[in-house]
Amino acid sequence: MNNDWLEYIYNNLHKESYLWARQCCLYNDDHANEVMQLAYLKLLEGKAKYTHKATLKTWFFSVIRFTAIDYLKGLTTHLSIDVEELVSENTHEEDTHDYIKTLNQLPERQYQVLLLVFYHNLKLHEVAEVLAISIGSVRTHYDRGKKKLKTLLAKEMVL
Amino acid sequence: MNNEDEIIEEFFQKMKEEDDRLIAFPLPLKRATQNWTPYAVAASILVLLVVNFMLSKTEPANANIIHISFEEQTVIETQSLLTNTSIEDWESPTQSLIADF
Repeated sequence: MNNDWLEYIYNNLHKESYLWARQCCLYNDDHANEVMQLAYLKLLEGKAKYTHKATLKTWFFSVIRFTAIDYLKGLTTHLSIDVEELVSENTHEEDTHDYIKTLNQLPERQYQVLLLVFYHNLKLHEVAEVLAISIGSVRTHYDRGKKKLKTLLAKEMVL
Repeated sequence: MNNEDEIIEEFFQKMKEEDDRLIAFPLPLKRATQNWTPYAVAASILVLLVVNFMLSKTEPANANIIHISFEEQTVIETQSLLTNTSIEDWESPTQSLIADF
């Protein structure tokens, strides 16, 4: 692992990477911490290698996403924890709960695409690389996600 | 992005601000790395000094060896002589007195 990449990620991308890890871990801080440690360990051990096919941020986001998937799968499998239990652990402040509650009403792919585009400022082709799906699928999830989110937000405003 | 996305942009912008306020960003554990080179160099020098000191110690002098020291311009000389004396060759110091009478 090139230490320059690790230094760059640590100094410039850590905050945003942690936020993405948290979003991948259903907004659980403890799980996000663990996923970040595991992701950095993969880099240090050379298990994840940057091949320059994508930007460093896109590449590291995909590493985090796959690490989170494996980590959560391990939790639900070995510890017999339901995914719903993981979500219910995250009721912190009421303010944050509203955003999370709103996004949780979207299908997973749609809110992931919207998060990566609007929250993390990625382009659609970069989202495709992070989620390892086709650009066509990204556009579909993007359009449907925006439409549904607008509907949800309009309902909340009315209420 | 068009105006229709403004409501979505505003939603995520507020979400970001909320995250900034509420979330402490834990830094990853940094591996403690230390440059051991100076310590290795110092240890090597120390070993060399010790070895040099041990090799330079003088051994006790041999008593049969002539020691010449120029300190205070004195010469100390030690010499051992071995002589062989035969009884047959021994001559009484009074021998000449007996023969004469």
